[in-house]
Formats: sequence, structure tokens, C-alpha cells
Amino acid sequence: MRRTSVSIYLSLFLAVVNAQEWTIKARKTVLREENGVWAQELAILHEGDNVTACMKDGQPIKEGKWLQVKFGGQEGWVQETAVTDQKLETTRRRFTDSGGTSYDEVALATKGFSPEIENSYRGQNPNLKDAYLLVDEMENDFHPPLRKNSEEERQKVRVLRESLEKFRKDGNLKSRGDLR
Amino acid sequence: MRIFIMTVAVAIVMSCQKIPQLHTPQLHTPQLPVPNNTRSAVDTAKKGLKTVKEGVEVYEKASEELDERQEHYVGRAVAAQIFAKYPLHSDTELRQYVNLVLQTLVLHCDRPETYGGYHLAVVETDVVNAFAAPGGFVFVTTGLLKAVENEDELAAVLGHEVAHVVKRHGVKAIEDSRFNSAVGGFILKKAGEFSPRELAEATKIFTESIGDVVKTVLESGYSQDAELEADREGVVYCARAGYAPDAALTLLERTVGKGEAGNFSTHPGGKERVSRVSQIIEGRRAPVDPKRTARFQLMRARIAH
Repeated sequence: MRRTSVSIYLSLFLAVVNAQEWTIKARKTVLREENGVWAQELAILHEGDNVTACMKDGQPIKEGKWLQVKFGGQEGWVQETAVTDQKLETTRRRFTDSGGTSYDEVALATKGFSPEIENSYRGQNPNLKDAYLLVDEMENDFHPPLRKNSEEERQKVRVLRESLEKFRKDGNLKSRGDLR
Repeated sequence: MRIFIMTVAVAIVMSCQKIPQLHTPQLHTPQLPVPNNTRSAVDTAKKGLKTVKEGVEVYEKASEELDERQEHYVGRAVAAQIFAKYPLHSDTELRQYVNLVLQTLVLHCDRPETYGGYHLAVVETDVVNAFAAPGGFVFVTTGLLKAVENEDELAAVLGHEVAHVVKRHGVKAIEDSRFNSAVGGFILKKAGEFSPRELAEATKIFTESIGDVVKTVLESGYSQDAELEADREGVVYCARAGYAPDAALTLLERTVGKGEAGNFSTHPGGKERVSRVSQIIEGRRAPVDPKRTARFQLMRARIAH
């Protein structure tokens, strides 16, 4: 009896050790209810967020290009290209909030070509100032970099999915390709 | 006891399981040959052969030095250079429409999630062209929107550009020498803040890299191989999405016939390309949906002729 309970504790411990953790490597991606781009959004995931793989027979569950994962008590699907099995390095960085107060926060370490280099490049090329504003505007049209998990962000993602779905139906386009 | 042993056995097996094929870009440090005086002449000769092989390997892997986030910042700078040349078209409804065609194709491509996502701009110029900057910044000119006749032809052009992003042709245009120097390699891998000297060096490498990509995207065009790959992939994305796979061919045939092909300055549209695309399609033809053509025409009417 005692051995059985020891083995149960041990198996629980090993199950936790074995839990496959992945990190979101895209700036933003969506946790969906089902494994398809037309499925409802459950949550917006951001770069550096950790998700746990759902397992079956000791293997992570994968359907096509989608992985089934758990995040914040929810179970859903993410595109596999948005996920990495490597730990992303972090660093302490100094931020300044809108009120001008500076504070330190743990952030993902930016490697090589980073915002820091972009700022330096922009400093050396003042003629690109307006052009960079247009790039920001271009990025804001879809996938806007909004505050983490804000309602506004969720709303934008939902509207995008619905507008794409309407566009697809109106144009008699396919929901899923069957070539290759 | 048996349960205990089984539990341990299962746990060991589980810990040995490999995760499925996640497409994680592997970082490769170019291994440059270092002369080794202690080796015999035979060893040196053998090493010379290996160097040639390594050289090929280095060439193939140099662009992989950049992870997706770095590719995104290269893309932003290249996009800024494009905006410095061509103004953004102010009609947001037109941009939104072209963006929907782009995003539809993205859903069916093999890299639907880049670091910062795919974005579209319509730029104002009579030059008939489309460009893709690394990471997913896609540009079409108003000249191109006038040259295509329906949504399926527009999708053919956008599918081709999405393929350049999927296959990372833009970052592959960066000269390998940028990565091969010891300093360059170190800076590209360094995480965290740069010292002033490192920042100056990194900015120099960044500037040179952007120059390489801009030259390829805006002036010289990609290699024949990259163009062929983009033609092939673009047709596949269009077909998966439900667009007529042969729209690319119809567009090419028409523009070559009218002598407009020369305007696709970075996309040579000669007869050779027509026959190449024709082979890719292999008789897979589909009708163009009139509902799509109708909405395209409504949008195109918004551009002054």
C-alpha cells in the first residue's frame, strides 16, 4: 500500500517534469477553440508566453499545422509555426511609462537586429522618419501591437476573423485547401 | 513494486520522447576554416576539400543567422525604404480590400505566422509591380492594380509575393560576408544591450544588410531560382484558397502580349516565364468567379485612371 502511494506520487512528479512546455515566438498569436483559422478565439498569446502541450500516448497532440495546448486554464489550439521548444532568453530592461516614471522589468532579450539597432539606424537616416511612421501605420492595419490581453485587442482579432470569413464566403473561396 | 517499476519505466520512455517537428530555426555559426600548422600536408589538403564543402554550407545557412524577430526589423527598414520611394495610397477602403486578398492567401501558405504578421500597402506609382520585404510587408502599386483584370489575377501576384516571404528570399539576399566576420557573428547573437562601439558596428552591418535586400527587392530582382520557386508556391496558395490557379498565366500572357511585361522590372515576364508557369499549372484551369470580379471592379474604380 505504501509502495503504491509512493509510486503514485512519483508518477505525478515525473508527469510534471515531463510536461512539455513551449514558448510563443511570434509577437502575437491566437489560442483557438478548434484547429482551424475560422475557429473562435479563446485568448491572445504573446511572445514569451508559455504554453503546455496536451499529450496523448506520450506524444503532443498535433493536427495538421496545429498543436493542442493549455494556457491559463484554457485548452485550445495554436499554429505550430508560432511556437518554439527553445527557452527564450530574458534580460532586465528599463522602461518608462506614459507618466514618465522609469522602472525595471524582466523582458525578452532582444538579439542582434533589434529595436535598439532600429533606433540607431533611424538616427543615422533622419530622411526615413516619415517612412517609418507609414510602416507603423501599415502594421496597425492588421495584427496591431496593442496592450497585452486588452479587450480592444481581442475585439480587433475577432473582427479580423469575421471580416475574412465574410470575404471568403462572398467570394466563393475555400475554407481549406485540398491541393498537395 | 511492479507498479513502481512500471511507472519509472513509463516516465523514462516519456522523457525520451521527441517533440513533433516544430519548425524552430536553428542557429548555425559559420565554421570558417582555421589554418592549422601542426597538421600534415595531407591533412591540409583534405581540409581544403572540406573547406569547399563548408563554404557551400556557410552560403546556405548564412540567412538562418537571423531569427524571425531580426527578420522583422530588417523587413521594417526595407519597408521604410520602399515608402521613401513611393507614397502610400490614401484610400483605406482599397487597402483593406487588397489586404483581405493577401490575408486569405496567408491562411493557405506554409508560413502563416511570421513574427509580426503579414501587412499590406498600396503605393502610388504607375510602375506595374509588387514587392515583399522580409517578415511579411507586402506592397502593390496602383499601376499593378490597373494592370490586373480581376481578383484572381491580383491573388496570383500576391501569392507570388507571399511565397517570397515564406521562403525567406529577402533575407537570403543579404551578402554572406555580413555574417561571416567574427564581429558580425558575435553581434548577431548577442542578447541584451550593446556597448556604444558594438552598437555602431551592429548599425553598420544592419545598414549594409538593408542595402543588399533593397537592391534585390527594388532593383535587380531575385535569382531565377527564387522567382521560379515563388511562381510555383504562389500558384499552390491560390489554388488552396480557391482562386483560379491559371490566373497567373492569364496575367502573364496578356502583359507579355501587350509589351507591358517590361514594367515588371523586378519580375522579368518573358516568354520563358510564361512557359514555366504554364508547366506549373499543368492544365489545372478554373473559372474566375464573377462575384469576385465584381467586387474587384468596384474597388479598382476607386483608382483614377
